[in-house]
Amino acid sequence: MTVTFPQFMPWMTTPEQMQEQWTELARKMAHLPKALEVARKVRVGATPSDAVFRMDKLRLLRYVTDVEQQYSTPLLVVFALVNRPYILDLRPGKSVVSHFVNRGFDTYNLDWGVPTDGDRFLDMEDYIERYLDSVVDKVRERTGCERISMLGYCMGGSMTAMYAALHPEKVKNVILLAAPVDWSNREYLLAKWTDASIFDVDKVMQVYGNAPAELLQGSFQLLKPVSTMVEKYFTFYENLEDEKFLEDFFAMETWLNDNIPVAGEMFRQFVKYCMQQNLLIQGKLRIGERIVDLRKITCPVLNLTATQDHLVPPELSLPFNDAVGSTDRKSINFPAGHIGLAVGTKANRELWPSVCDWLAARD
Amino acid sequence: MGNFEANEGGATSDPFSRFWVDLMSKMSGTPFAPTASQMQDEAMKRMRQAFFDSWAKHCDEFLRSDAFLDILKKSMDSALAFKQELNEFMTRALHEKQMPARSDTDSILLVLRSMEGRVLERLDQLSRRVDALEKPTAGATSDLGAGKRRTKGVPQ
Repeated sequence: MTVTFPQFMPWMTTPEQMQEQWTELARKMAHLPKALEVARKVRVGATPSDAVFRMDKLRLLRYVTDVEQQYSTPLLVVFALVNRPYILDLRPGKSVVSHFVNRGFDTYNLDWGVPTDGDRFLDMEDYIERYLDSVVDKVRERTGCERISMLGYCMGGSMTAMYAALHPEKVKNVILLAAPVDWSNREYLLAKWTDASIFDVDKVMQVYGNAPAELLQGSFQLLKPVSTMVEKYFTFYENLEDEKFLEDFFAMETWLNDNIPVAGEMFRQFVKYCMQQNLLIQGKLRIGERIVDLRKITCPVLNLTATQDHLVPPELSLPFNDAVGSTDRKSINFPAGHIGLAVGTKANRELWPSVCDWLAARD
Repeated sequence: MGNFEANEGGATSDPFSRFWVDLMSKMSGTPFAPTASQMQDEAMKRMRQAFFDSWAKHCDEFLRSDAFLDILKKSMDSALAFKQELNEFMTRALHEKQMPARSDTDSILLVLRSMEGRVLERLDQLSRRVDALEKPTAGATSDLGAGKRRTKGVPQ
């Protein structure tokens, strides 16, 4: 048998292929202005909303819809402090919020706003007991409901858990979405980097004031450097002619690069008491004058985790279900990543309709 | 996983060599049909993916290593020291020109927060007294928005 050159060294490019690749490159480059146009026109936020309450920098958004309200219990979505909340309503077909809105839930989203230097002393008590409590009271007042449903994403989930433990009388259902509550696993990457021996959070906050957005974004990117800094650009190049892909890509990039600083004292307390000392799951976290005791959460609990979550691995979230006092508790470990849980096609097709069912059954 | 220089299972201890050995074994294991006409394109993609997988694995290993954590700590310490020097220089420079620096606005903020804490504490006391007075008729009214704790606690 004759062995030809490409058979012997299959990774070598033949002249025909080289010509094909150059043609493809030229075609893609010709498409670049169109891609830039898509990037310029990209819009984030799929569902119209009104700001119904403002307090300092935060805004409470209520989603406006023609769909008749089917359920009496309103839903409040609480996002993390490190990014903007529109990831939960990124684009049509990639919107967690739209699932609830279209099913007839009165849905609210909490936009914490962008902290400035003057906010550096805002602490956990300010965020949980002042801001979040005021927002919950506002939703209760508007809807006339004694208890509301809450959905917390990532750090917002941790804050939701804290709030529900401190005010169980105001919370009817808790849904946590990739929310860390137990940092006892020290093997995951972020835990290693934020270990007290490496990361002196007191000093960082003393020097910087607020937690800089660049520091946070850089850290998140460095968790998966090949994927976030190399691979995705190859994928981008390969799909340069796919307008739908470009729209999704740029919407996602808009969000990923829309980092905001975190109020210094809040960040210091969260890193020190939660991530480094792991006080929350142990029932030792103190907010103001009160201890956060997760056993006081007795309402139905749904804990959503992602199997491939590199930011909040499931083992950081799952202990929540054992720590609460609820009897109605469920967890779903969905095959997705941290962000895919919110914007992934599969999650939007399979996960969120079932979450709506779960919530509807507990209205 | 702790020490990046550690020799794992008798394999080469040099991270660079380990990366290439791992990469080559992955790439050689990449299945492809050498006779297919479109073979190179698919094979290239698979080999590229194998390269990325291998690279990602070794990056992850490095990012967990003591060597990296040491670099991280040292670079963080240096950045903090530099930033602190800069802050102090700016404070001195601004004060020389009779202008307020960040430390001054911080002091004002802390005074305001302390004042707010005292006012809220006083409101809490009043609220508790009103609650006590209203207790006999408490069952007749709704508690929407009531019972809010406003007190600023002592920092931990």
